[in-house]
Amino acid sequence: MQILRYLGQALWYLLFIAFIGYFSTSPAYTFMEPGQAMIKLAFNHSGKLKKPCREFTKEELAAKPQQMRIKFDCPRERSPVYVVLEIDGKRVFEKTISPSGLSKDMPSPLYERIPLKAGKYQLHLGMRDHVDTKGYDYEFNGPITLAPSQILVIGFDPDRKEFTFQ
Amino acid sequence: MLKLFQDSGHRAFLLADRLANAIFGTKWNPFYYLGTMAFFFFYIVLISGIYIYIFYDTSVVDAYTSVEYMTHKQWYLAGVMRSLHRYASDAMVTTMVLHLLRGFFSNRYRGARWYSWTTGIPMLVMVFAIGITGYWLVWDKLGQFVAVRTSEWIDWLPIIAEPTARNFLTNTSITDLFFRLLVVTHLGLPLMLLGLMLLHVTRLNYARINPPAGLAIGSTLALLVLSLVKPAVSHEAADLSTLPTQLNLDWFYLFIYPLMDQWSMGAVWALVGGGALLLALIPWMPPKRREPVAVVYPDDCSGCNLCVVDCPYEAIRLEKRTAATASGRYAHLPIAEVEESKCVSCGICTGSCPSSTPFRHSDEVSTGIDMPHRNIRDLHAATREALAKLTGPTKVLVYGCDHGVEMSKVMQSEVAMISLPCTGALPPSFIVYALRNGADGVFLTGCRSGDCFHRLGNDWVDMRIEHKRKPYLKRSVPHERVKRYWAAATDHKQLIDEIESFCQSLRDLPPATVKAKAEAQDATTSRETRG
Repeated sequence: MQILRYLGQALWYLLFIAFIGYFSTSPAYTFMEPGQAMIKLAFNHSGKLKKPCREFTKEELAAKPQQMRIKFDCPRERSPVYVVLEIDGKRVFEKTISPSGLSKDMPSPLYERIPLKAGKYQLHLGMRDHVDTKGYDYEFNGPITLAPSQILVIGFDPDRKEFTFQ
Repeated sequence: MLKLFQDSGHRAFLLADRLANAIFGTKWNPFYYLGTMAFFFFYIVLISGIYIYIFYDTSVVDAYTSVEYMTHKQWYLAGVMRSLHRYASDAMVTTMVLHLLRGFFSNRYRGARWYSWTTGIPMLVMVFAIGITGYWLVWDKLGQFVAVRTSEWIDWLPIIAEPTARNFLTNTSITDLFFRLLVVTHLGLPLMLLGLMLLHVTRLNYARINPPAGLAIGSTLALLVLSLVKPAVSHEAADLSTLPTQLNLDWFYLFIYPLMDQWSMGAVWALVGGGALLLALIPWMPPKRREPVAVVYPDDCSGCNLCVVDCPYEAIRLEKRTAATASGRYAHLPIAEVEESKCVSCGICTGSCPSSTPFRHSDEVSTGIDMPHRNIRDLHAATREALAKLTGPTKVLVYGCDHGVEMSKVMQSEVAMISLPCTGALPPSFIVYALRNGADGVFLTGCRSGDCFHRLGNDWVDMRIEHKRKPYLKRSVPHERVKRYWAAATDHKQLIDEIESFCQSLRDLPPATVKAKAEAQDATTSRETRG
């Protein structure tokens, strides 16, 4: 009887480690098929000031206390940034990104994943950083090649004012 | 609907308990030690974690290399420790979830027991957070997947201005400083968890925090075997310029990640956040009317401390008497005081009070501490009524509890039943009273041994009868006239068999001799129960 209990305990522990051992790695999960690739659109870009600076009128300045009489009125709010991505002529991403910050005076953050099959594509990328702009302030047109499993990170260099590809 | 769900789950656990009891016995049944096993696995995780931290390099570039060194070059120790670290973590989360399910199905989370339940929920959340950051630290393809998807999940919240996922865009965008911050998080959270573990058992008297040695050794050996047979290994090194493809997920910790791909991030937040909130609030859903808590009667409370040490929920303490309570013959002694928020109305304190005796010179039975809704006078009346009903050739009085077998299911002609909130609420003097007033035997039942609904009720009964805990059952009571059989709600057939077998054994005894002996010895040991 005691032997049966020991056998039962051995079986119990065996089932316990089989359960732990199996589910600690299995079943395997396929996050992306091997032939897949991905574009990540990721950058922070500050839109232009929504309204330009304006000189106060003499009447307006006179109405202010002495220490607050500055020459220009410059609203802090920035314009939303508009980004569009077309691949082989097909629009795959389009978004108007509001500026961050309570006063909407911070950059517009963008982080977007676009899964694609590996291969060659014609890319068109456009961005405008003011709502009143017609067309795009910044644009890229050109071919790209995505290898299997590759992640292509598209950023924006504010100094060179152009898109970057990593 | 909820009741049906709970009953089904409870029955499933009782069935599993029966199997485990047959294999391990009630002293080692792993299902009775789920909480303590979770604690024990945490200790293994802690010790193995300290060891592998010695070899772990906290820089982005060398983290993976150092883990590979442990896994392959020093497989016999660091590799085994790594595997133990992983598998004990998995076992910990498994036992925690089972512990939670058991508490829910057996309805041990409501009323004053909300505290242990609700403090357990942040522990569960924290364990998942620790596990997830642990996978991150290996910095292989799985770590990369977990890091990127976690940050994308966090970024869904509108409070995050700049996406944290941008930290993982390229292999150069992640810094050693960020990685070290993660290491500190993975080391700091367990310290917080340790604090929560202490809080979790704060309101429990005689809280069990360690499993029986045999169970601890068996589980450690089992995990050790698993670590040798299937060592924990890494995926390829993380490379942020390529996608993770097929991943061997640890489903105990990472099950929400596939959901992120199937559902929206918002839906996963709703599941995790909403689920944790719902679990934390479940003790009040739906609101339940609390039963009256224990009341202390100053004239009968001698400040003996027995109820204080017997209360399973630390709801009673001794205090100095105030002007209002300084009356009666015990006016110079301390008095028991009940903390209402902790009392679960189990009545165990009444069972432990030496004043709880039906052998009173005064007309009315009274005691030092009692339940207002099911008091000692009611028990006295019920006992007298039950004894009067016994008309068969063998007269057996059964004291059971509300959480064991339903008394109506074991009704027999030779037997009368009385159900208590907990069998621990039965003062041993009532056994003597029943035997002196017509019962041939007293049968005690309640929840299965090791699984008392009120934690310690049947342990206290066992110890009182075996003269290991005050108030003792009088030594003069013949042991063959008192039987205990601890049975779960589903064990009514076994209980009927046990009662029948007890009746049969009583028939074989010469009743008059035994009663006379008992009465003679009672005269010399009448002060024992007040010991």
